[in-house]
Formats: sequence, structure tokens, C-alpha cells
Amino acid sequence: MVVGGLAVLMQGGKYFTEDLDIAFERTRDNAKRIASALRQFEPRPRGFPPDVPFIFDEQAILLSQVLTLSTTIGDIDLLGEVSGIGTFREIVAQADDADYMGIPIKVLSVDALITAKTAANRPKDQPGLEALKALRAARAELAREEHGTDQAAGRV
Amino acid sequence: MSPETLRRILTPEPGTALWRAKEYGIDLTQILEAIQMTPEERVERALSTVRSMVELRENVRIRAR
Repeated sequence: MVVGGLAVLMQGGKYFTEDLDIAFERTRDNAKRIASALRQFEPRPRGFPPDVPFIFDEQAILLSQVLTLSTTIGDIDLLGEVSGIGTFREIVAQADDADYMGIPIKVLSVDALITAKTAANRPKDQPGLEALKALRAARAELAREEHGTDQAAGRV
Repeated sequence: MSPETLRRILTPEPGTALWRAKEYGIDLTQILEAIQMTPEERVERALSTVRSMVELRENVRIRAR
């Protein structure tokens, strides 16, 4: 599930992000699938000395709640939890459904992104946070016109 | 989108969330544009901006004073 800066982008915020943040349920099966999907991109922990061997498998993925990786396609962070929200079960409960290039995906909702960014309390997130609040308000206006309620549908 | 909704988004009433965003410096025309795009379009717009910035950086030469 897409979280972090790319989720902000996908939801409509202007946000410069240099990595892909993915939240996942920390099961061995999921970790195996992730390892299988990403192995071709030669992932290594960011900052790891290049001459130190690293085996990217489900064990490496499950060793920590957050695994920050450099890959041949850019930086990817694998997250078992998101500050201010919790573990994957709490995160996915606040997901919006989206289609990206024909593939159904889940993206953290605007409300949850606001909660997470507020909890993180980083100066660099402030512009994105304000944009998210504006997005939420603008969508509420649109929902009010379309449905007579200010609740947006839960799709990106 | 009705003219009224457009007005409420672009010229928000003081004290509303959109008004506070505008006061902060958020460009509400970009917000309006964004809510009408698909996720792919939003990502592509960001990528396009980055490509333009990279091209600019590679082609600009700052002259020392």
C-alpha cells in the first residue's frame, strides 16, 4: 500500500518525494512476495557499505519495522507501521482505492496522511500538510455539490 | 462543477480551511486542478515538473560576478 510522499502526490498534493514508501502487513508470505518482486532491482539498505554482502530475502525484510533501501529504480522504504496511525491493519483501514496504470492499488487517505504528517511534526512536511488540508476541504466542497454531503467517496 | 462550488473553492470565506490554506500560501488553483485529475495524471504532472527542472539545471550557467 502506498503511503508517504507518493501517496500525497497521488492524492493531489504538490510534494517532492525522493522515495517510494510502501506499507505492508508483516507476514512471512508478504515478505517473500516483496523480496521476489524487488530482487531484480538489487536492493541494498541505504548507507550500507558497498563491499559488505547483503542478502535480500524475507528474513531481511522482517528484521525491522522500517527497511530503507536503495535500488536500481530509486529509493524504496518498506514500512510495517506509520507514525500516528499504527500497524498495517490500522493503515489499510484508512486506505483509499485507486487505479494506477490499470492496476488496483491502495493509497493512504488524505485524512490519514494529515494524521501521519501531523504526528511526524517535521518542518519539511508543513507545506505538504497544508496542501492536504486544502485538498480535503476542496473535496468536501465537491462532495457537497455531488452528494449533498461533505464526505468524499473514499477513492483517489 | 458548479460556479458556486468553484467560487467556494477559489475565493473561500474567511476562517474556512480553504481560506487558511490560501493564507498559508497554498495555490488554490492548483488544488482545484489536482482534484480533477486521476492519480496517474497527478504523478505524471510531478514527473514532468522534475524533468523540466533537471533540464533547466543542466542547461543554466550562472555567471560569477
